[in-house]
Amino acid sequence: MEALPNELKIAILERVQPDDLRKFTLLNKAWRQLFKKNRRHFRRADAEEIRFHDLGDGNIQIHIVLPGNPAWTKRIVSKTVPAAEAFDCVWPYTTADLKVNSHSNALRSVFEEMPDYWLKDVSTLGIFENESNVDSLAILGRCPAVSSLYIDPCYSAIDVTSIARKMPKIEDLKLLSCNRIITADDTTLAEVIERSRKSENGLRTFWVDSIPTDFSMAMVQRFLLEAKFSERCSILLEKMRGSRAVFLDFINQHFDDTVQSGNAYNFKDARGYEFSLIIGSFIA
Amino acid sequence: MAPNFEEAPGSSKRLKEEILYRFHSKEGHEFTMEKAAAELSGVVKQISQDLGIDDDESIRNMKPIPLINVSSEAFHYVVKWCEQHKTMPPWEQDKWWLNERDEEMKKWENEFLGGLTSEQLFDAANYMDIKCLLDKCAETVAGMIKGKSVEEIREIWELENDFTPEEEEAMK
Repeated sequence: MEALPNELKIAILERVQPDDLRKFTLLNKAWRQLFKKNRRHFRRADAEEIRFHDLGDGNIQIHIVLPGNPAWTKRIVSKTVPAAEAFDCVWPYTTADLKVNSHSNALRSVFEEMPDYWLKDVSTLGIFENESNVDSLAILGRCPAVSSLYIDPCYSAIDVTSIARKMPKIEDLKLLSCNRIITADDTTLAEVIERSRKSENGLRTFWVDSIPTDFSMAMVQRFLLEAKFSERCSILLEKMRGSRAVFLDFINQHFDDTVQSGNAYNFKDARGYEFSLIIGSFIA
Repeated sequence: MAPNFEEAPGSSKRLKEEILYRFHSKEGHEFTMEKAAAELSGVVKQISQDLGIDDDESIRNMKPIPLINVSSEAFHYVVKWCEQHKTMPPWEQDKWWLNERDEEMKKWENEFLGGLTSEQLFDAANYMDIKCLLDKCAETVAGMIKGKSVEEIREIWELENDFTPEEEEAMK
């Protein structure tokens, strides 16, 4: 077997089940080197979700949620490792759901050094910045399949339109700003309309409630009529330019079963899809 | 027992009306392979293209292709494999897992490779660039080590453990 050329050894490793792969790092030095150099080609196990927690002491706690059938048999593998070893822990898995819980500054380098192939299947990305130096926009930029994004809280100086433009399709976009230098305006809504129409399920969440917004009523109306929504959709906007009465007329004209309670509007479209819309304030 | 190459499917004594490529193995034995079967090999296709061979008559008049790295024994099995697969749809090279074979073919392949020490055939498949055989050989070898311990894999593949005890400890 040692006489085989490397391309054939790699072809063998490509077909080895994920559970058996680690053994190849332990056979001898040549196989270990071959494995490490080429591991991007090999099979990885599906994880429902992977969470990174920066423990603040240079160590990272990693939770890997493995699927189970029936669902109650799912397992959580928990590991605590130095930041430099974090990727080796998660490499054997692939996930669509990535959570980054950044309490200090150890995770920035973990994600800077993470190869793109590992991030390419992430469709749900949750980042909890919490006054750390983690670069949310850089991580998002390397996850080309993200359709659901949660940055909560968000300290970075980024604008929502540029975030939306990094997402090929949008199903959830929830941003909670702590620095109030993030803004969303009509260009944001135009991007969300376009990208929600590309998603399979439609828009479920659009929360920019703590972000200074500069939405015109005409654009919000266009958004409600033209975006693709899921069966239940939740929208929170900090403010909108225009009159509350005119907006209510618009809702009553285009939607059914409208219920207004304070700043909240609940209504249904012609398909029976339910909307929950909160607008913090109307400004002239 | 070694195959009798005179009576094998790749023997040079074949019907004249067939369109046959001719080959010389490492030992100098002459073999033939039917056109559709031989063209499963990327090397055969490339050589034909380089020599401007584009019709059946040219194939008939072609000199034997020398396969200096393929033993007669390995080539005997290569011919068997290719003849069995000559009518299969084109092989998806990059996404090998998308290639589908019916149950009968899978059974034939498993029996075929089950009786072989696959390393020589693996080398031949690689040298001749026969993707479907290469993929099946890789799958078979990967299957051989499924569920085996590190020590068992070392034993099966005759590998020497060159890690120091300290390195082994650090990898745990």
